[in-house]
Amino acid sequence: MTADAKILYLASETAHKCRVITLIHVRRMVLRLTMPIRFFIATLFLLVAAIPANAQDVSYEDILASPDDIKLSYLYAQQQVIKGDLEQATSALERVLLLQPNWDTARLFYAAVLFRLDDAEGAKRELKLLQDRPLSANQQREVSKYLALVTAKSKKTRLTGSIATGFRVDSNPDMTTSSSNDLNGNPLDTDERVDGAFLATSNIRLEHNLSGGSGNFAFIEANGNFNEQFQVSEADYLTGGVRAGASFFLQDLQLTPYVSATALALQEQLYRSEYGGGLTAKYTVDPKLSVSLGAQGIYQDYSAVADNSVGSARDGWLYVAAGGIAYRTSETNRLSARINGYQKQASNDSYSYEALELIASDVFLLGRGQYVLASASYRWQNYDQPDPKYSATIARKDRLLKARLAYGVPVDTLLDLVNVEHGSATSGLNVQIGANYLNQDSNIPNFDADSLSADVLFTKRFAY
Amino acid sequence: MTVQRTLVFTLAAACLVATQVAWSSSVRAEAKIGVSAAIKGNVFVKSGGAGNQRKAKADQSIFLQDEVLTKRQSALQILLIDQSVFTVGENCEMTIDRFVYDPDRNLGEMSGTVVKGAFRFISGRIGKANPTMANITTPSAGIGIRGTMFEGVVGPDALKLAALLGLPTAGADSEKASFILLRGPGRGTNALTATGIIEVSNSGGKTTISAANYAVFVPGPGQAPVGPFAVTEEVLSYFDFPPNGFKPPASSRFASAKLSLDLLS
Repeated sequence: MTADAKILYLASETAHKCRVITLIHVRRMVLRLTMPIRFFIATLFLLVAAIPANAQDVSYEDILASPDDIKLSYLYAQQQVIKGDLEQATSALERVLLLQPNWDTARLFYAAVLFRLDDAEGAKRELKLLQDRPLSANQQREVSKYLALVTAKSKKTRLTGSIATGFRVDSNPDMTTSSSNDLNGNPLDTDERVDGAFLATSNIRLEHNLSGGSGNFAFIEANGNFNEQFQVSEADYLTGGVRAGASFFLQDLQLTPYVSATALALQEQLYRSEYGGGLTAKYTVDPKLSVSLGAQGIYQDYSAVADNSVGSARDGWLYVAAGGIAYRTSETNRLSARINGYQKQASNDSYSYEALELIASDVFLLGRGQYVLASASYRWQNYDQPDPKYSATIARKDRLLKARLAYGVPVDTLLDLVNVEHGSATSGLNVQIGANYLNQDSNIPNFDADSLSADVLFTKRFAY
Repeated sequence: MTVQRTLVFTLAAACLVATQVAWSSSVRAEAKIGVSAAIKGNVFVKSGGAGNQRKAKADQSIFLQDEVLTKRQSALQILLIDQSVFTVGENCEMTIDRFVYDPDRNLGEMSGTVVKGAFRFISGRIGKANPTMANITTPSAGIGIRGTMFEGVVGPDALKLAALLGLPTAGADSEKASFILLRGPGRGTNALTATGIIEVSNSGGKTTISAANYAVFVPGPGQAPVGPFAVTEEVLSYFDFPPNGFKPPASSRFASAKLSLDLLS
């Protein structure tokens, strides 16, 4: 048994013995995968098993039987936070504070729960009450941290953002074809190269409340993505984008018109720039269900490509229509599905296409800030005309499958696990590990390719 | 013989009374909808008429159509069996008029009435599973609850809070005006909790609040709801339950809301 298989086995023992049979099958599948993916899955199981939910279960019936037992109510609040039912936690803490208003730990916990519920003003009120209380150094640090967050959140003009950095290992980062020969029988290079990469992403967003209405705001945001391969430089890229718009709330309807501009550089050379705009509409059907519709038009400009014979033949408008649905099955699980339709009108019809994409995702909260995110998409893309570079008669048809499984956890939760005290440096810092599968099936063999990858990302969020 | 007749009559009467008491207890037991969970100050519960008013204690059953009355500087939190939570502040009169709950299917219906005073409500399973089946009524408005936590005040303090925010209060009914505030969950919640939405309506119109820390003012019966508008820290501090339970320093800004309200009165 290999080391990571042992980890997987030990993790499964710790978690739930009743799942052993299932895990045997999972392990067999895992052992067939590449080393980075095996490491990812083993780590995922270990973390999930190592941070279990609170074992002592307090039921609502227990609370009804002893409603004035403040310790029981406090325990119940902690438990409900882990389960994701923040409103029940709020009411339990409200009760605790009604009976024992000078319990500072409970008030700090109450403020944190209100903050998570986006009741910024309510959280601020509780935190300010705590400022003049005799708190421990750790509590004072927590009060300062949350006060800075809620103050930023409740400002009329607020700045938020995130910076993430990490590494990825990919079995085929430049999507080298898996086909041996092209349509004419000529041999193709199938030498897939496993490579690592340094990743960095950043996002910054400025929002300003608009007068009138119920929470209308204008925004401008910028984001960037950087991927630097260790060896396969063909897969290096840098993207940057700016988006500006406003969100208007009309009863249960949220309308967001926007304009955007992005640029993509490959191997340190500008490859494509885009500009356009769009509109999204989200309608809340009920507290569990929401639907969304969107449309956008983007002009794609490839004229800056210097070393590509295709050049501006790809220039043209890309129209996108989208529809989606999000359903919250419980306080800890949300399913969403989306369908996107694309129409590209390039100056050369060999690069014009229609595409349809189905996307499904699920986010599952495990408590203490942990989550599992699973997503998959499938895209059909048919080009209007053959590309003479590959075939004079056959228009390209691609089928693209993408899947990702990720686990995220706050670094503070991990430090708590090993009883290490944490300070402001790790506050708001999250780590996410993910595994990805990508498969492209094309009627032009040059574009048949697949890849497996695993990544780890550290993300720090900030607000001013 | 007379003694025997008297004895028989007494026994029969005793049996009748005992049966009625038992039946009454049975009906009341069936109508239990929650418990009084936490109490501060002087809180009374009136059951089936003025004569049955009792001082509320923690861990006492709350029955359908019990009327809850709080005095100055008092508060009560009621836990309903569907996990809804009703907290009432000082000088409040509140009744749960209707409560039907099937715990197996999480189905039910709930409606309450607040005649005066401050209150806070957090949805339970009825409000979450059947968003249209949970409602609170005030003398000036109906509040449709769609999975949320909100607070409100009925009476003169509603006018004072509106005035504090610079809203016009001319023509408002000082006894029946309502001020309703959505606390959350807001759109920026980082949990999978449903975003809070409430609908405030009367014959004059309907307004939806879908943003946390936004409020609506209803000047009186038949008068259209005003808002929604963002509330200030001062307004929020008014709803600090329990009143005076926690003593902030005199210099704290939290003293200001109560102080401002006193100055306005």
